Amino acid sequence: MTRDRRIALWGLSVPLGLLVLWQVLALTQSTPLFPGPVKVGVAIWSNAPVILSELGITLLRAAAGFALACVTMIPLGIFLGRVRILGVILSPLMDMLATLPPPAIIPLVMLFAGTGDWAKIVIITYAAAVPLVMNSYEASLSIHPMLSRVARSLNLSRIETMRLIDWPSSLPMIVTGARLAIASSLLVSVTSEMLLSTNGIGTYLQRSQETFRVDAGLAGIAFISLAGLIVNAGMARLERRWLFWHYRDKTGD
Amino acid sequence: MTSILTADAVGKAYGTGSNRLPIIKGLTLSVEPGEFVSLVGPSGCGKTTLLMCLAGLLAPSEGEVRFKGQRVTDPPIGLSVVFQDYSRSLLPWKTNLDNILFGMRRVTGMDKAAKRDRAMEILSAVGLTGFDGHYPWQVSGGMQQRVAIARGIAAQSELLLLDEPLAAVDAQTRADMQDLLLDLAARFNQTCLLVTHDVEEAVYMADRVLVLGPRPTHVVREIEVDLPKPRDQLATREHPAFLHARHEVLALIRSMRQRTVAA
Amino acid sequence: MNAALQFAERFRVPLCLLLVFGIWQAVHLAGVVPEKFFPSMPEIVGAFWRMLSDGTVITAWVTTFLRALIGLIAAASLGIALAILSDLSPVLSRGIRYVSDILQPIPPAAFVPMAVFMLGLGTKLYAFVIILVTVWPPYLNGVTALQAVSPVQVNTGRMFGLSRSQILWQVRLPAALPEIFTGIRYAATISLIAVIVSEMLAGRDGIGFMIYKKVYAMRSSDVFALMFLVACSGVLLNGLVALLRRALTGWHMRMMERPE
Repeated sequence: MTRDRRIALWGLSVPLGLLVLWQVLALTQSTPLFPGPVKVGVAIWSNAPVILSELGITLLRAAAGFALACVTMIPLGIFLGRVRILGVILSPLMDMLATLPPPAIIPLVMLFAGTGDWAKIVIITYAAAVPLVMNSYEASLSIHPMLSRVARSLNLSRIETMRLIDWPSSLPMIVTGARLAIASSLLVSVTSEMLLSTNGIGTYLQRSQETFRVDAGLAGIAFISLAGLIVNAGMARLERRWLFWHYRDKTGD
Repeated sequence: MTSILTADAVGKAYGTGSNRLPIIKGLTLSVEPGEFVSLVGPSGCGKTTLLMCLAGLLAPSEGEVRFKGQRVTDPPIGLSVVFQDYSRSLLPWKTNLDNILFGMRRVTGMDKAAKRDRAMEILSAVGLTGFDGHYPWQVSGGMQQRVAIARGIAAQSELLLLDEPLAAVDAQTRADMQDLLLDLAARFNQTCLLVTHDVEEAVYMADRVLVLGPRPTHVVREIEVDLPKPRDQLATREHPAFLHARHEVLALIRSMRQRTVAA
Repeated sequence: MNAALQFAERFRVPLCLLLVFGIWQAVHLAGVVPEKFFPSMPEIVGAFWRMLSDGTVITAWVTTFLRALIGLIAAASLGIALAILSDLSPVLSRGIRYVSDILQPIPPAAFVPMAVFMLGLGTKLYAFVIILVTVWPPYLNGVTALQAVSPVQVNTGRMFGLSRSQILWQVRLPAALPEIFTGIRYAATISLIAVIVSEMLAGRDGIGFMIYKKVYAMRSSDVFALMFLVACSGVLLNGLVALLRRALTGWHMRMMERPE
């Protein structure tokens, strides 16, 4: 217990050391275009309200795109897993789309849908869609045949089988997809704002560049990181609560 | 003649303070050169922990282990362990031959070609001629176990510590492997210490059976097995001395179990 | 039914292409989307051929692909090095984990505007952005995999007299390599994203910049052709990783391919 705490404390020396290194580097450069952590700290303090409201817009769009992807793509993935022939034929397309970087489709959507909110949400939905479809497809393919036999021996109806057996047993894999999808939605949400400037944290970063406020821009990045940390921590908590049986399975060995 | 392996008042406990969990306490044993000794005990009595201490893979909390008179702190040259989890003890990125050569890395006085020849010789002795280029995961579980045994012998071993090596194989393979092990031990002058939970196996294989008590474990009885060699799956198992020894060990283990349950 | 499934399995690539092509052309012919935005397949192929023959696309592609590849190699090496460092000391492990927790959620695009000022528009910028976002998957997988190496394998090494560092190099690292490669494969995709986005934002050369230019010129068939090229680059980069993976951890792939 105390050893863990000591490690956690000493571990802090690594990020702190990097900060000091950065500060020293900034001092030798002595230009406002290369601010050190102290200046960025000041900028975080003074710009927090603006950054937070812009970040809120970004997160909202990311959440909307992610939610849209969840309700459409998880059922699609399971459907493709169940109707094998479609899944088999479409799997090369999925593989191909998986290697196409989501931000690369931003320009395409710009062509179609302009630069409004919906354009961005469409891009985010696409970005979140790929890991969700692929993971739910794989999950519904890899349900252990034993479980289907269990379902039959218990005389479960089709709906009951899906609800009581298929859904929970594919959940861990779908959640893995969801985690990738969340990371991807945040990434694309910020990126799309940088390319299709209107509002949001991405636009804020672009504006900071145009006005040569590098310290303010770095403050914005710090908040993005914080938001990501919070989202990841929340996700980990939910996973532990809902999927404890899956993890116990793995560590129990 | 000096003993090849001795353990003197060995104790091992995990944790400290109120969490302290003693596994072994005051355990003393010795193994003489050329002997085949079996260690049996009730399940969960700490057999594997004991074996790790004897092999120098785990430091005992009290007492000392000596191999050929030298105090054991690290795994000594001349002592090989055949692990229970044999499929994982073979490195899956090496072929069977390379796994054996990996075991021979501390062998001195042999050049590369000589090591290779020796490895091939031992491979054929365990009945795996022609499988040297295969990977462990390409052969059956019984074959993997034989590769692990061959690797142990090839490491210029004098003492083989066998940790329930046959626990995971089916009954027929098991009988064949028992005879193979006895044959190998005689052929390559291996002193063997076999840890097992199978009483019949312990008696069938051994010159001497050491019975371990419940946790914290130590040797509670030593039984000499006076059976003719070579052993035979039918004749030996019907021999009065076999039945007598088997009875003695089983009765002892049963009485220990009843005492644990009562307590 | 089963025969149809087998047929689909065997010819899934051409069938998939045929399906996509067919739907594409149907949408194009139906005219639901203005033709300006939704060119026909032959137009896209024509656009690709045109860009290919005037040579512009080749230089841009080489620039982009080399950036992604070199960045990936650097990031993967650094990631493995960090994983090994983490393995040596729990304090370092925790410290590096803090840094990765902080940096990992930041999209590559976010670094670009500020990094332009701090590092200029050249190689330094690309190296910084790519490595900063690509290093984490190999690192994280490396740490997990090194921890997860079976104690039996480690004990086997100890029994045959391997020192701590020999066990790391000869036992634990080879055992961890397959999982590290899973991380590198994921990193390959990220590296390509980072390059293209940086090129779009830093705007001087490369495929990313070219796409950006074409969008503003409303050359939709060019954009589609370039997108296709990006997807192919992703496949190629993954292919190179797979090649290296087969060379180094071929045993693992063959082990996994075996039927039960």
